[in-house]
Amino acid sequence: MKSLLLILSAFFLMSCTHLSSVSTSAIPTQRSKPVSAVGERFMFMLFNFDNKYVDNMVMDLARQCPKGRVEGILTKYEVITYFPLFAYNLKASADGYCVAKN
Amino acid sequence: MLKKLSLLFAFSVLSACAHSVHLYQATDQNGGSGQLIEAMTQQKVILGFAQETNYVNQAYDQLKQQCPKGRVEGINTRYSTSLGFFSWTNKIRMRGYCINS
Amino acid sequence: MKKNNLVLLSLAVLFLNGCAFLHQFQMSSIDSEAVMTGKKFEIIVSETGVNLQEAADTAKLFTQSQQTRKEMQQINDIISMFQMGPRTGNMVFNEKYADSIMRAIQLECPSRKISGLTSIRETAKYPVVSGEIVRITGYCQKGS
Repeated sequence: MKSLLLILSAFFLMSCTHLSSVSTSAIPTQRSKPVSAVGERFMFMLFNFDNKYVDNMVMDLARQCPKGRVEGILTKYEVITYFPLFAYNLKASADGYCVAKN
Repeated sequence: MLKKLSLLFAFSVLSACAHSVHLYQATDQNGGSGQLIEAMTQQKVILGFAQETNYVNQAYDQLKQQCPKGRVEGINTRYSTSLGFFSWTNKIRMRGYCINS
Repeated sequence: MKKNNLVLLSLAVLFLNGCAFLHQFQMSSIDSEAVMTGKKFEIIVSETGVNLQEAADTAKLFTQSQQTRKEMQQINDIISMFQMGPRTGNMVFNEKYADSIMRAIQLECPSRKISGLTSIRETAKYPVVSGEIVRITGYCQKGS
């Protein structure tokens, strides 16, 4: 029983990550003000009925840079497996730079 | 035998011209009105042997050539594959607006 | 009887909702003013995708004959040889379904001042079939 618990906890602690999608936009010369946004959802037993968790990321980035433009955006979409078939985390992240508007 | 043939026919009809759309991306526009330009290139892959992805750069170059003195905005890119018999065709289609300054 | 109804209802809800798989997502650069003062729009285009292996597996459930099941699998194997290649989601029979997006964006935003575009490629998965979806969200700033 103890060894089973040990194996289970090892599974949870290991959590494998799979990168599904990545993209970049043009990188600006001004890179002094980094901004970032994350959208994520815990998925139990592969049940996920929509992907709305990524929809607020643009607004999050815009709020961190209210008077400028966000450029050089690196997006990543990753699936983190905590326990196969049962517990996953879907994570979308966007990192960019706030630059002054011309 | 007839049953098998009819099933094969039914499945063949269903499987005709199968495609997979991998990616569609749209980019910003700054408000100018411009001319619609388009570029499309493809790569035939047999048995999975493909050593390069230059067809993507060719589509990008074609798009640039159609707008030598302007900005290209609102670029819409579609990357898809047409499935085939032990082979497939990767396709890139780019469309955008050429804004002449 | 009530229990059965509950199970059926739960299954129906699951099947009607479908599971959503996100394949790709990209973001263009963001003009914060356009995003915060502009109007948000969303364009969704979808095409029916088919999973022939699942179709064959489902068809096998309707026959007791081992011979017929074997033949169905053989047919599926033959057809899959004609559908080789990399796939995102299930295959579709029209690759141009997303091409209307460009025009739809212009209709949503006649001023053409568009920023904060997010492009999402996702699949709504049901048994045998799926919705192969392209979803674009963005912000439109009013023209001056």
